[in-house]
Amino acid sequence: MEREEFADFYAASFQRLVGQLYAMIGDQCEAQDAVQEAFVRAWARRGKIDRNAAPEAWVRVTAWRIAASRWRRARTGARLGSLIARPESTAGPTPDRVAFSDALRKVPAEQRRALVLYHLCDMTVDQVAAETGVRAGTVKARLARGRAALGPYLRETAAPVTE
Amino acid sequence: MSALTSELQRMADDAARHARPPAAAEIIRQGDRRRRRSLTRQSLGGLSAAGVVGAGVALGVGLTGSAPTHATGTIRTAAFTLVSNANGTATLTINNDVLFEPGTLQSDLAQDGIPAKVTVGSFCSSDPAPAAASQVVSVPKIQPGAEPTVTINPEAMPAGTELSFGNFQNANAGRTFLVLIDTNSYTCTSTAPAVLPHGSAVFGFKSRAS
Repeated sequence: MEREEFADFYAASFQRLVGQLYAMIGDQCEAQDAVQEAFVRAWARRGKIDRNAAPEAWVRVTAWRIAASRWRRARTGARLGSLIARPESTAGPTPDRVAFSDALRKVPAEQRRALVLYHLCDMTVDQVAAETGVRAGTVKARLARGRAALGPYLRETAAPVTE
Repeated sequence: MSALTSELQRMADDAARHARPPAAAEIIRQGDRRRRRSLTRQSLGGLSAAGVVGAGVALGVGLTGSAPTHATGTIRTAAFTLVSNANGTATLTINNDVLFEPGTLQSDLAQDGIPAKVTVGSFCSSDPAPAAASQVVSVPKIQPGAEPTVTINPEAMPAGTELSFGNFQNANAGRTFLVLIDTNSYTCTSTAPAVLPHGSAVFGFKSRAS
């Protein structure tokens, strides 16, 4: 990947990736820092990016690992969301949105990651399994548990999981 | 769209709107430094096997604690030697006794954080040359019998500039011209420049060994 191509890729995907990572980890600053660091690594190791057919997925996975590593070092327990303050972007939400955000923070990190990849990144179960390194059955279980936890906070029932 | 999808989308959109991406050039600069440090560690690991010489690592910081340190190392090919200095500059020596390697040189310069356009049979320049040209390229006094050398300071390169290397060959000699260019405004010619642009350098007229 040449410099100009990388700059275009960065400009086109940085904010989207921050949004996705934020939905996974619930911390705006951490999300931005991790995505930024992932892009630095992407350029430093651009040979890997060139060999990877999905560079955005490579950056997302790397950013997730960076954030998860920081989280583990912080020894905050099994849930990413528990360490974070409510982000600036949620100022003034409606009560049901506050309830949803709070409920999402209580969802275990890997379930939350699966929910974001499946529902937000529009990936299939198999694609989520490939990105997260687990079996499709594990992804389905995580999705089912995550949705069950969030169901009471949504106005309608989410669509069933499809392959 | 399910309610769950729309809620996640709303959260992500809010976060994306509040994201403040640094300039791509800054990400690339940090990535180049990371790559250079990584390559230096690798070259130090295989020092004897690879025949790399003159490598070392800058350790610690100055007494004030504010002076940056830079990884040092040497990339040596038959055609050129590129030394990363502790002060962040790079010293390039081109051996005109062997054929030029534009792709290799451009790649190795990039790994050293130096964006460059390296060509054979053409030379690109900007008119006027970027004002910082003389801070980027300096030519030490050449010792008799020594290969011509330039020192490049990548940190003095303004955004939107890169180094242009133009190599010209004939039966008996090779010459390489070097100048800083504005990537948004430059022209290329297929002839060697008769008048050197401001801030440019030229690597000798040494006859190639037959």
